Amino acid sequence: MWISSFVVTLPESSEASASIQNALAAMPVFEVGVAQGRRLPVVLQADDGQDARHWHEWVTELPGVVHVEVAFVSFESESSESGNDEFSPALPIVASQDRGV
Amino acid sequence: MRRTDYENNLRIDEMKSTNRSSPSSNDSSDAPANVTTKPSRWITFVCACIMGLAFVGFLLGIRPQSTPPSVSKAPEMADSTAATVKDYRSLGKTGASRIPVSLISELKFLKPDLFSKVDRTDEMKADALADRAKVRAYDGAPPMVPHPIDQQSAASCLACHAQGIVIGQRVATRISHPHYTSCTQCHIETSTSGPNEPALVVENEFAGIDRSGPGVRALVGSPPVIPHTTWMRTDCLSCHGLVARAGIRTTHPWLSNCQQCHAPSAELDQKYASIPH
Amino acid sequence: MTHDRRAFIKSTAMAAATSLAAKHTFAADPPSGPPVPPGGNELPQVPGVVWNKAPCRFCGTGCHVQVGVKDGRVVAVTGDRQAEVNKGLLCVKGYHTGMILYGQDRLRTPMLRKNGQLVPISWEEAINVIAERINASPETFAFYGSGQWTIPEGYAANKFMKGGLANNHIEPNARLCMASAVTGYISTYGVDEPYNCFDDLDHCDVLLLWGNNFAEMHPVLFSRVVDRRLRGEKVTLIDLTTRTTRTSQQSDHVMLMQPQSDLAIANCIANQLIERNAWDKEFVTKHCNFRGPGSPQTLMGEPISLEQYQSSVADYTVEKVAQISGLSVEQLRLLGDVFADKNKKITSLWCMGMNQHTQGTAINNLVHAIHLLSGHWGKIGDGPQSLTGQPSACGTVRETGTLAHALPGDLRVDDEKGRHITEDIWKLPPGRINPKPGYHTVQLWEKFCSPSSAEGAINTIWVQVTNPGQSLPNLSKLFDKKAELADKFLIVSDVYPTATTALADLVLPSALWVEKNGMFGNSERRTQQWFRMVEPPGEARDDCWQILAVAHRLLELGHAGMKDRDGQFIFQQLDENTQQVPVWDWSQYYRINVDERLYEEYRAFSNIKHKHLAPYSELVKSRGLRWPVVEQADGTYQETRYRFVEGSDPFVKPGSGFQFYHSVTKDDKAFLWFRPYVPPPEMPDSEYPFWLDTGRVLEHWHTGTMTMRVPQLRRAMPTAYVEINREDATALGVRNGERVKLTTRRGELTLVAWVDGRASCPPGHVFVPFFDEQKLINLLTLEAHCPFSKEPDYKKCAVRITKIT
Repeated sequence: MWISSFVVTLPESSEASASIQNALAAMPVFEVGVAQGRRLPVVLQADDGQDARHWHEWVTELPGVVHVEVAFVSFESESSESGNDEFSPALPIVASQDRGV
Repeated sequence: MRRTDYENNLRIDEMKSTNRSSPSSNDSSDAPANVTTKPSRWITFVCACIMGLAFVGFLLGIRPQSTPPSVSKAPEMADSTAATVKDYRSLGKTGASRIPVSLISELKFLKPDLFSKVDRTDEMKADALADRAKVRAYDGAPPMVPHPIDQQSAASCLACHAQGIVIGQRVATRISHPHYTSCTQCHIETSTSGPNEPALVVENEFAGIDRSGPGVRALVGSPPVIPHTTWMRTDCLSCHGLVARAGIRTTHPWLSNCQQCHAPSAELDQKYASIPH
Repeated sequence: MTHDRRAFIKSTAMAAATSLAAKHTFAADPPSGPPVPPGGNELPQVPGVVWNKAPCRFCGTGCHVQVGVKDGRVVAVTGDRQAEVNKGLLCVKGYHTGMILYGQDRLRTPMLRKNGQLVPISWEEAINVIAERINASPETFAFYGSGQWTIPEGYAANKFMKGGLANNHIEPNARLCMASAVTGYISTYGVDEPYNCFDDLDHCDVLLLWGNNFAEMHPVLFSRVVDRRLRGEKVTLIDLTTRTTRTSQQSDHVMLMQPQSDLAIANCIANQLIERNAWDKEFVTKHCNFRGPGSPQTLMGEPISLEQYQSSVADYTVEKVAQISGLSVEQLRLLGDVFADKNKKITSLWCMGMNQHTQGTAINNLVHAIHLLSGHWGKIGDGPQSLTGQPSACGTVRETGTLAHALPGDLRVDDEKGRHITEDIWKLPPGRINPKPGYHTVQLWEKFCSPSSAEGAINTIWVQVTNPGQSLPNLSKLFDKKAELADKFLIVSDVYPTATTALADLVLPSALWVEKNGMFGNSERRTQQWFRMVEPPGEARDDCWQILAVAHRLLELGHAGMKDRDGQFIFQQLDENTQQVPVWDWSQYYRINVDERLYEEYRAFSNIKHKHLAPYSELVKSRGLRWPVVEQADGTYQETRYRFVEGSDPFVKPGSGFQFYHSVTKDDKAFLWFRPYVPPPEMPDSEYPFWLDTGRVLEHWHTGTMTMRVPQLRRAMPTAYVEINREDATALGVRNGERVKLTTRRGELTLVAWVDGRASCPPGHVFVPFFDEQKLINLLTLEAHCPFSKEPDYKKCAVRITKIT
């Protein structure tokens, strides 16, 4: 289960903006929050990464959507991570001298 | 689409132990053999971050036509040095599959609640300030990123830094200035996650300004004035809120209008009459 | 996962998104005016720290910084809130720019090579060595400078060479950098430099990047565009590129093209506009002349008719260009759609991808052409604009004319009128200036690396503010050969030991950035000024003083060229009592503001081609002003954002809309070019099967002499690497982090492979950054250059890659 949330920047036109909100609300994978001005918080519950990516693109390509920012990501599954081999090899890294942010 | 993971480059021996309970703190026996120190929860946490980052990178990643996803025949990585933890793949082989995956959401859950007691000593404060200074060339320089970052999708920064995360003693503070889109314009890694062959090394004798604090109190017990400029620091809670280094956290996070009591210092106030030449 | 747990995560997710959404409540309002930088508009006040303005030392963006000085040392740098260019922000190089002064190995004393060793000598001896060497053979001397020369430095060097020595062998490293943009502008509009400005970035609907990794190379300008999205504006980024970079990551369309195919793509866009009848007939008829390349191609080509133009571009069908470029037919059509859409404002940007190109002039012409043809020209946010990589490639090189053929103010040595005007302003006897252009950069170094007995050989070169030992192409041919030629003499003024000082016979320590007065001119015609804030280390002295001191020593040695027609020293400066100020004496140099004197003298040239520069005193008050800066009736000065555009440019005839008043054909019309696709001179083959591309990275500036001495920047990017595609790495059996050998017909180099790193090349292509002085990729690059701009192509040659076993 992949749960993530986005902030969708809506277009200026209230008509186009309403149609985006309706389109999102019609999809059960989304939970639509309360817009702050033209910025609409949305939670996505997807099956897996593939699915999440698909929906992320779907939102981005909705007519009129200006920008999509990722606000939150949770990545969890009951079984162990099966996709290890998909991760690319990393380089040897000399230990960081610093900590803190 | 490509995912890039990172090796854990944390110097575990530098870590201070945490007294905060952690959902995976009893998994240390699963630490890979080549990890020189024990608290595998670090690995777990870092893996969670890695995966979170990988996922955001995944979401925000470059367009399909740009990169063929042929990863299965990937060449193996070269061995890393003993002081570092190996990458996520090798972690998987050494038993990480039995480590429950900790979640960024869970980490957020570790955040103290509004009314939990805040312990603060002078020593903690000094530590916090030193920790803060460590990643800055001078007071006012953009902090460096003390962990590997996804070289290709800087936007993944927001996964942790939009809200802030506490990971044991490590704190990913939330962004103190309004959001910009290109994080790596100003914030780069403290050490590379790419090739690192011996390079031209020349000492630098620059000595930058230090922080300008501490803030003075009008009377014993009265609230101190803001001891620093508020330059690029518009969100007090970024450094002083719930998700912040222990030594400089506010003892009263429920009071949210900071400047009601903490005045800008007269000496440091932001008035600047004219540009001299 | 339990239901509760899921609900918990979802509520956390919603809270996160809601709070992020609330952070930008300003997005609810339409954007009005520039955003206020964080922390407000005022500077931080820190006890004991005095702030002063300066343009950043690095790229051509021309950000203004505020430099904090305490006890005679730079202690902090912040973005200048009052600067229009950067609006208070900087990039990571800019924030650390104060540290470039303090590398431990700063050059502190002049050094002369004796018995193979550089040994300290006095300034007096150093100046004497140079002057005597020049005096003995003035015509075999050359000056090699830079787009990092300040305006007064470049002007002084140019006057010293062309006016004093009657020698035109003066070239800048900018020949390697933006010469193709220059020839592109001149052969399109009849006069050099962008007509538009960075304001376009705040207004364009579409940003089309032509082989330009904007995110890493001009980070401040890049975020000026992409941050608009956070304010709720829609801006579409199209990344036309040969590799995917951090720029691609934020782009809406990433179009991976084959090297050199930009020529075909531009022609294909033109063809689509003609085919669809979507070109702007009114604009083109009123303001453009069609121009063809001629046979063989020449810089100014020949007139062609509309029909000839149509039939020339008709060859470039989407299907055919898809084959050449590797773009899909859909991608090419999308580009056609973009330009056909009159309602969208399109800004095209380019930098080294189009300039370092063996058809550099041609591709510059073509990008201007598709904007002119489609009418996407001359409106704010709507037009083509070149970027520069050095802080004063425009201000110094292009404007003061430190090129082998040029004189200040866009005049030429091979034009009689230009020479007369110059001799007049410089008070020289008529005929002093040599009418024959000097050697361009590649020739110049070839002649220096040839035996002195060879015809036209150059025996002595004085290098200032640049590092040709690392940045020239094909280094073994154009630089390293010097080591074998005992009678060649290399003088280098610099701030640190470099690949160039390694072969130098005389090394002069220079003052750097805010250790001296200075002036730069950025990519958008903005002239900037700063004052000296700290002392240079040791005996380091201003480059400009070095030139004046050598000139005066030559005068003492009896060189006639150092006198003007009245018998006075060509750099004579008088004080308020009309007494001569001995500016060649370092202790007297700062008695007057030499920068101001030289600049005010040079300013007379700027009016010749409507490039009116602001008086020095106006620049002191501003964060740079974009020329032409024209005095108003009330005595104030007004800068110009858009040249040739009525309402913005005061020199445009009222009622004309647009006027190309320096048109080559003198009819106020620009050239709308056709130039054919020409294959690159070297392409991968069975022996050298990969394309090699070279370039820059975010952390380092050019050859890294300054940025590699900033620990923060060095640690983040310590070493050069070869970026290689995963497929290719797998096929070669190369693991990430392993060493490979790169071999071209010119040289070889061992590098670490980086797979899926910061950027990625498509299969068959590799990329290597050039900042690392210990891994000189320019041993491998090709010196083939554009026939008109003479700018070499660092972006494409054939390379073989072998695994090191």
